[in-house]
Amino acid sequence: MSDTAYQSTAIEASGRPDRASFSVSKGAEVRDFVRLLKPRVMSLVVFSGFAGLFVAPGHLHPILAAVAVLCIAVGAGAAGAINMWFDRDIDAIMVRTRGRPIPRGKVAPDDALAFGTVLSLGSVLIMALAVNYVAAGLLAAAILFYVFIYTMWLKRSTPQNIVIGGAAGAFPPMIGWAAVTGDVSLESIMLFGLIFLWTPPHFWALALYRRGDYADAGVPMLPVVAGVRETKKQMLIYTLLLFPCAVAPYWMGVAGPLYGMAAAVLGGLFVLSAIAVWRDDSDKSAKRMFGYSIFYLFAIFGAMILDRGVGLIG
Amino acid sequence: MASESRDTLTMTDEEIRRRQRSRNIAVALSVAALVVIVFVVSIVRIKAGIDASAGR
Repeated sequence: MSDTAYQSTAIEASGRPDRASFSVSKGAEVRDFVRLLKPRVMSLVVFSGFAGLFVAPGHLHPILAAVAVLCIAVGAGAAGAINMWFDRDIDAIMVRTRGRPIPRGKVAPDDALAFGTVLSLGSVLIMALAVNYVAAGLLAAAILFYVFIYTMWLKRSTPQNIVIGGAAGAFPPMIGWAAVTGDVSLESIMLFGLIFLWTPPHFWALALYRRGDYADAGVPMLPVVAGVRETKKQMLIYTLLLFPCAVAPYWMGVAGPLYGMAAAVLGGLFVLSAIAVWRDDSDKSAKRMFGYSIFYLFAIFGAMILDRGVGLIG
Repeated sequence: MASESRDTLTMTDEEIRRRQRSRNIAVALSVAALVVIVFVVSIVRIKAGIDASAGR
């Protein structure tokens, strides 16, 4: 039996690999394509999208609601696959991302691009046909913003990349809301604002203890460009801005007191973790804050869902 | 059997065929799921249309 051997030439011994140097790979497994969809990021997107859908006033048939959440998940995953296609050169350099399917040579770049494009178009099309055009339009905007504005433009050109680019990740609850109501209201914009303000401290916490990685890859993250002290100051500012924004759904009547209390406690702990990062010269508190930021978003949308569920039962 | 490292991937023709078959099955299941989704959504929307026109 003959052996078929082929090498990924993705990672050169030194320097940044050229995007064209990634070989075609015939050995991709289904799980490699699943990895292209960034399942962990997708879980957060699904959860926040579902929260937006669940707390929105009105009624959507459960099957259509499930399809809407599926479209949000697939659309977000597809954008992630296109992101991996474009960033394959820097992904091969960074320790955090070099195990991804393209740098490992398991999925050919063209396959990843085709996979992401087909899923993007499919998710938007199904959303338009099954749910409504507003939700489909927002989903398309989120995908296009993530791919063209964040990935291709901002990520490599400005330390404010994840501030502006964070808008892409803030769309899901707004899409969920629009799936039910068919419009974009002030309440859904507040849900958008919640993730928008959460994104910078979340990513900068990661960038603080991975700054060497980003510097090697030439990605101008804030800790690399402006320094650790400035980054910690910005993180604290954003967590302070996030606090009232997170409580706002309670004041606006979107959520009840259960959510209001949870938002206040979770927001307070987020501010405290930012203060801990400010005071700590090591990377320990930044790692802890990154972990807490993920918990924060799950918990705050979980509280929103729970609050609404209790309201429906009551 | 396949042996893999970060930079190098070596596998037999049999292993490649096995992986291709898995991918083909995944594509087939995805297409089937899409057909089911379109069918079910169509039923739900048609029923909603009938209910609306009946004034219920």
